[in-house]
Amino acid sequence: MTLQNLLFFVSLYAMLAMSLNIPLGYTGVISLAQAAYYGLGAYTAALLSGAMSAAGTTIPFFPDFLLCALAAAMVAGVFATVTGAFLLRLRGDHFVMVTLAFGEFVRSILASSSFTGGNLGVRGIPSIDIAGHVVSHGWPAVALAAVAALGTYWLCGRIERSRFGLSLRAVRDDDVVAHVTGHWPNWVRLRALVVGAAIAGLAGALVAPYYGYIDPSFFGLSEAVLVLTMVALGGAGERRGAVVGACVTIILSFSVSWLPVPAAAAGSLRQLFLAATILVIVRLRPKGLAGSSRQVNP
Amino acid sequence: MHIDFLLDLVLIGLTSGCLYSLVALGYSIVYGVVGVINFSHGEVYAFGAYVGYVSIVMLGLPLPLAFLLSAVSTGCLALMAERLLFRPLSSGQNLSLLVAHIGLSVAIRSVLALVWGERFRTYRTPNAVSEVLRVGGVALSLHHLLVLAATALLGLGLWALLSHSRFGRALRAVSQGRDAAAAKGLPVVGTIAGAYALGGFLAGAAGVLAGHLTELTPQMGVLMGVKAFTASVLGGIGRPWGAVVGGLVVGVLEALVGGLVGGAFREAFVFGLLAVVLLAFPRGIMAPRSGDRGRWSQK
Repeated sequence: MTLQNLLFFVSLYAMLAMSLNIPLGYTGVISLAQAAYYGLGAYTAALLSGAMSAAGTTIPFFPDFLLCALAAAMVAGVFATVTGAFLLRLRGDHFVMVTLAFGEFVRSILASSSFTGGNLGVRGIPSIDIAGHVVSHGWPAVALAAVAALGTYWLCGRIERSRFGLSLRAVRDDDVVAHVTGHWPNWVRLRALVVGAAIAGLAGALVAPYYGYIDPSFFGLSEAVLVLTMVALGGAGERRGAVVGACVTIILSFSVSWLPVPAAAAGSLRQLFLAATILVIVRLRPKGLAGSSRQVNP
Repeated sequence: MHIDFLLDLVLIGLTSGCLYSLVALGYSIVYGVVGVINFSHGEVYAFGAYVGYVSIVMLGLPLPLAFLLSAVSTGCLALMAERLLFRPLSSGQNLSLLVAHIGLSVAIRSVLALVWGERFRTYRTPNAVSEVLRVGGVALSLHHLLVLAATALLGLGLWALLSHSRFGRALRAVSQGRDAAAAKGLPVVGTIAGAYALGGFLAGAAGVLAGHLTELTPQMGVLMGVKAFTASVLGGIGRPWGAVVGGLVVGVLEALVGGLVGGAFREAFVFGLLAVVLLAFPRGIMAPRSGDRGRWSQK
């Protein structure tokens, strides 16, 4: 595990945590489906870039990776629209449970469909080329991920200060008052969910060429739980919290892999370490490390 | 389609449905009393299954003793979690309570994986032949009989506890109105802890029984959690007897889908079922038409 890896994953997960923070932190919609949107984005980018490089077609003046990224964001957004339209009728804990089921549903479909390669996943994902340079591996990939994370940070800042962000927080803090003042709560929640899912889809398009292969186990419940705990640990409701949570979690899990333990136990040990941290932080600072005094009322 | 094949499927479904019922009872009782979903409940069940593995396979204890040991240990686990995590966090945000449940689940899963590894474990020794009882054309193994009988016994015990004991009355009173129960001098905090412990006890019992039917893995609690939660919603969450019926229904439906459509669709079916149940029957299939809070009403 190198510094390069560490920086890439910090950027990637900061992006994912910020994407979940839009529905969760700003709007108060707790979702465990973020890994499914992320995975759908990754699969879209992987399958589309594979098909395009196999067919040898390119669109003039429009780079392939941009097309894949757009497609990934769109597929994730469409899925979020469909699921949100049905599931947002549920509140609180019931919504959490049904998004958990949706995430596992997507994973089990990805794992059993032959179109997505079943449990083996997609292999040989083409790398991203910009002007003849490979930017999906090594330091260029870190730079690309950092640019994407900074872009997300900027976008979240714009959202926080916009009218849209105001209506998100209004729905979170008191949806009856928000409704009375002209914000239809479920429409606002749906938009937050879709924007968050689209950003998660972009993160998927970033990670697929970096790994070179993907399989359904990358996008299961543990991934959704990881992203959710990042937001909660850092403090839901502000972009800063999501970034802090992602940094702390990734650095913690990397530090376990530097410990002298057998490789077979390293995965479980990392999980245990994370779980212990979660429990300690949630007991000592229930609002997160960078948490503000604002309330999150799902 | 032979009728015996269908009967076999129904019987297998009823057996696994018994386990879902036992775990679903935990969701339902806790929801009835506190009004929150006990997200780490599936992992408590997995922990019980592994305690059973230790006492049956590694220590060679007789089955009733192993059963008691594992159910009591999961009860204590749930009690401890309630005291150290859920009670202090219950006054705060929903998100921190959820994160505490998630942290506990991940902790239990990773401890199981660290100690016993990711590979499948089973209670059965390789050369043990499971006896098969034939009733007409339907084959019943001893394991299935064990599960059915033990669930019936537990159900009977639970009925006695809920309707004829002080604790059962307190549980019902707290679920119907916490403030009124407190005004009457009932120990509300202790009753809530008791609800968690009772749920944990039943989940541990289900874990030991599950070890006789399937293999154990550290991940076994996740799917069980979703299925049992589906069962408890199907029966109307907050109603113990609804959870029992819901568990049996989920078990039979799942076995029928697995046998008639294909095993690959079983998981996807359960997840789809949860969404359909939550959206179409949010108060369960047995809910009275109106005037009910969806909690535990004894009319």
